[in-house]
Amino acid sequence: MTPTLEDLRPLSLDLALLLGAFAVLTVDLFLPHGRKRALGWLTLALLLGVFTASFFVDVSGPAFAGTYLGGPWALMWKRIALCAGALTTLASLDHVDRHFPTRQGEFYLLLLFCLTGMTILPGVRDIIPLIISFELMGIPLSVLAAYAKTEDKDGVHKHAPEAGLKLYLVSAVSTAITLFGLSLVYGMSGATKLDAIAHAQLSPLLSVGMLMTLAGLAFKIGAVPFHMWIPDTYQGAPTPVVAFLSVAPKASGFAALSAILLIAFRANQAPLASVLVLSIVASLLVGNLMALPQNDVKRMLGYSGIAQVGYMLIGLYTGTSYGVGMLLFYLTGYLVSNLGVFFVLEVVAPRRFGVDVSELDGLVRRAPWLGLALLMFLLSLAGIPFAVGFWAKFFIFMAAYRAGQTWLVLFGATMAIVSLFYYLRVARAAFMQPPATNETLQIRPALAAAIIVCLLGVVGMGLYPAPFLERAAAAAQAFLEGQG
Amino acid sequence: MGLSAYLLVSAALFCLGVFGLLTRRNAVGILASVELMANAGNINLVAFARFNGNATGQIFALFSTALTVAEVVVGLALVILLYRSRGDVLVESASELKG
Amino acid sequence: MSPIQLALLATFLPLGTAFSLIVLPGVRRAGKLPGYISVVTALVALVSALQLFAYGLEVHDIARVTTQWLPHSVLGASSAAPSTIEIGVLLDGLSVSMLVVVCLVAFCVQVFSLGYMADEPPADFGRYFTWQSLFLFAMNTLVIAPNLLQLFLGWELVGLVSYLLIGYYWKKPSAARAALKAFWITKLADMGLVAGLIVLFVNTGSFNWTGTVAVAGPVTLLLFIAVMGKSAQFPLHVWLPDAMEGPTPVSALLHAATMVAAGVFLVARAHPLFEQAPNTQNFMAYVGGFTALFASIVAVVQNDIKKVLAYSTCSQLGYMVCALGAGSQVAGFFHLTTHAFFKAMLFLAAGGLIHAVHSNDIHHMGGLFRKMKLTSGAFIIGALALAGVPGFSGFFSKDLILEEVWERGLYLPFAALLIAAFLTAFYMGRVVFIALFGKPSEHAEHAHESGFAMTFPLVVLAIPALCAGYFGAELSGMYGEATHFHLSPVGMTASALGLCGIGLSYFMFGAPQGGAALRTVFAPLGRLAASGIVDKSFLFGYRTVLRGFAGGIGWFDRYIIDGLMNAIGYVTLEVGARLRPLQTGKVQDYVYVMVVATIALGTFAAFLR
Repeated sequence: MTPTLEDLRPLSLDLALLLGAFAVLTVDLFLPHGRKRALGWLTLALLLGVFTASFFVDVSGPAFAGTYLGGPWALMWKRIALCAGALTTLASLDHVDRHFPTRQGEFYLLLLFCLTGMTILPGVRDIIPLIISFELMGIPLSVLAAYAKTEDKDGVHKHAPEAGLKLYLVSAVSTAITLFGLSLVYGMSGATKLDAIAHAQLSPLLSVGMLMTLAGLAFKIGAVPFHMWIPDTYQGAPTPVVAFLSVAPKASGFAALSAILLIAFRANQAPLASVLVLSIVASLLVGNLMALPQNDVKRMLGYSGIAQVGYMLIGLYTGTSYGVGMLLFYLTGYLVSNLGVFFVLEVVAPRRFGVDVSELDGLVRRAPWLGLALLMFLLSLAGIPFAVGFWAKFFIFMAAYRAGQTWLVLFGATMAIVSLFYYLRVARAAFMQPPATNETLQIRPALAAAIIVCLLGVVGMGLYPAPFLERAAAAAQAFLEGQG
Repeated sequence: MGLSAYLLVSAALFCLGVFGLLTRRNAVGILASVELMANAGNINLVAFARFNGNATGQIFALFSTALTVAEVVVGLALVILLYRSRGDVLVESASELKG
Repeated sequence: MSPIQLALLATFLPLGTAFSLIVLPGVRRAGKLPGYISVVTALVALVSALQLFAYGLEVHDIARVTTQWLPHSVLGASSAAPSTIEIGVLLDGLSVSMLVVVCLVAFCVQVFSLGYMADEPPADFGRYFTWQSLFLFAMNTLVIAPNLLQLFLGWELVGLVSYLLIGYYWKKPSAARAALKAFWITKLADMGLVAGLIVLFVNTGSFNWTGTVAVAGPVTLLLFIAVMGKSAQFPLHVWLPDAMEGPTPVSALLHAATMVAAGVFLVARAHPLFEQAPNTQNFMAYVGGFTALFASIVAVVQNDIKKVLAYSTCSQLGYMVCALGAGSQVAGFFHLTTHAFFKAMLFLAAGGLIHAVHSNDIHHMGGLFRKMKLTSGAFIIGALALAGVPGFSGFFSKDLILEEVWERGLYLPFAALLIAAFLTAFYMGRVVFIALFGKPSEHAEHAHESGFAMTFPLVVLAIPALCAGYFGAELSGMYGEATHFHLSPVGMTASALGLCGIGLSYFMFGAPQGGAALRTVFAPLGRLAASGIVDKSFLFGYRTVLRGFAGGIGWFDRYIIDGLMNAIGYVTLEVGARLRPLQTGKVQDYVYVMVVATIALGTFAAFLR
């Protein structure tokens, strides 16, 4: 079946992104040093442009003989990725300009390639492009994490190489495991299309293959027991990169897992269900319990992210259209809340690699709006009403109850209480401790804009979640019915 | 030779890779072990392609190889970075972040 | 203004005040200004509430305005008829009555705070009033909620503000710990509310309490778990005594009148739902009765005046819960209203006493009646109301509860409530006689009456504490069956017991020499009395049996129940800390774990069919 131009239509947004990335590369070649900051704005414009275009271009339909399927599901994930990318770009403009002035072009380029991988992934319906786009997303991340390669004069970032190396090694091992697993899956089913794999006969070799594939994919989202790279990487990498790391791989990871688990393995889910449950329970326990003694906020957020992944996995585990839809909604809420917290950290301590809780002392007095924003983000992560995080948890629990997993609801709710302890600890530092220094915080406008957008998202979706919930539910339904 | 022979070889290769991964101190050695693991997958793919009768496996193996190469390039760059900042390529020296 | 507008004003004006105070640090730190702004806001809310109440006296169901918030389609298919989730305002007899209670007590407490917190540094003073206004917003949201979901939102926010206010003196480690403990215990109980909401919604398609509900049993039980936490019923009551670490006006507002009453309000609100679950109601009656008795026993041996009042609140909440368990929404809610007034007054008066002697211990007080007539007078009125002395408001509401419980045939809880009535009168008498009469201790030498800010609210609250009982019929008619008061054997027994309790406490603590008084009373018994056997046996009885027993129960409460809660917190933290060394920092270890896990899970999966 020869590909035609029509095949490119569902991928037009992704292609635009890719071409835009090359445009940035070209512009970088011609920009003199000292003017490199413009590349950041160019990237931002590109991302916003593609995001806006997503509302006007029709990208639904199959492509390349069914290996790609565009539709509401893929579209929603694309938008999530573009938002995360745009917000990160906005927030890192100053950081990148200040700390790596000569290498800005490559930074944005890597980010764009990563985003391209993220936007292609959700529509893919074949394991070959799946693994390729997954890796396209993953490889630049290790480079980004290690981006601050030398100790600059502030003595900053000296742990970035270690952070990047850990991410890379774990990533490489996972890729190898996934490839081996996928080879077994292909072998036992004779096909690489996800739909075709669903018809395979269950056999021990197939089970092993499925398990290994899932294991390899699961590390990206940070599910236990594949989570151990997260705290170290979060602590060591530059803060804007960590912000992106905390949401992007999770989004892609879940997109990939959904595709694999709910399409390719849908007929043979029995052995995987119990493994999933173990992971959920372990993630909730490890994430919450190990966040408690942390003093470094970035590390704490790493563990909290692991716990949040546990909740999202609950949605995946139910396997119902409603559950998966709520997973999508949860991810959206988590995105704005988590990015928001990291952006606040970036304001408070742009010069440290790790951020101790005490550095947030008295934030509400140094910068009241910032303190308030931080409080909203923390409340959202903790699941307290009037912030989007509450709805996210509430509806995931509802999905679990609907699927008959009442015990998961109770367990998850109890773990949510534990999470209160560490989130409140940060809030308490910001609101009740006296500030350690009285120097005024400098908030550059780009970073402030990013924080404001996140705050609007958290509060807006918290007060009026209806449109997002509807979109998410519809997307999930389309996905499970094979409409993309 | 039957399919199982190929599968056994690839499994053995995979295990060797895992063993090397866990025991080598040199970062380049670890990368080489990861390569072993990835190539074990490739052997599987080609073997299955032969015995399933379609060429999809071979195509998959080609893509997989390209992927692995890209990954290794990045990996080596990171190893060089580590060397520049620490003076050695021993992985255990990169363990300051913990807890 | 229309009723809806009044309700929205009363709810959102405090939010505006709180928000402005947060984002305008200049205003927040400007001396007494934030206090005045907050008090004026509370006054406006109070006036609105009173106007609504006036409407409510004529028309029992005033208005119900809702708008669609979450369309049904986002919530998945449900077997029940499609409905939407709404938010809005519900104004009926119950909500406007509660609104008046909340706004009146809040206003009085805020005025009182102007005086009580006057010595605090400006930044903290402003912070205090910010949270006070935020609390008013949250509580009102809860009160006017037209469905359980909105009620829950207000409920959670109220819990958050309670945490902020209990931990006001955050520099004190015990206060910080108490705040956290209150928060997580109530949060844990709130999971029952979440679970109940989910079950309700999945089975009926809405969060309303009307209509026939098949799963009423499980839903109400889950809701009641949350009530047990919020309204401090055994065994989830342990946070309330600790919550006394907060400033006394906070204890008056949150932990006597409003926040802890929210649980009772929830049950009263969802009465149609609870009517369909007689098992839950029985359970509630027993829990309430037990709590009423248990808490009153522990209160007998407390020396901290605030702790006495805290356990007393716990006990009275038990009365309300028991009444609701007996199926009487009217009795439970009526007692909620009378209790709010006299308990808040008691707390504020106690605050005045504490302020005068700079100590919470009743033995550091003494003879304060002579020096602080107004405050002491208010305290005595409150104590008499609490003890259920005929004529005071507490008498009417307690009486109604006892009657309803008796009618329902719940004899064991009834007995518990009766004994609790006796003990209530006894421990309040004890406090009154030790703190207000008798010889002053050296701490009390320099005591003097408090200023206007701290006495005016007492006068205001004394009015309903004295009179509310007489309007029982009108008030109860607003939210249920109009119940007229009538004298009954039950009521008389309770009153008699109350008077006995007071009398006993007088003999023990009031008269200058308890023993001597006893002797004169019993003199006609001749030789027996002269030999002092009666005094001795009586004192023996008190010391060993009552005080020992009460002390034992108090010990059990403090070390076993409370200790269990503390232990849970400690273990959680420890596990987290112990797991830390697993993250060795060596990437090969991380990969090792991954590989081992993959192998293990792979083997596990391979043998599963």
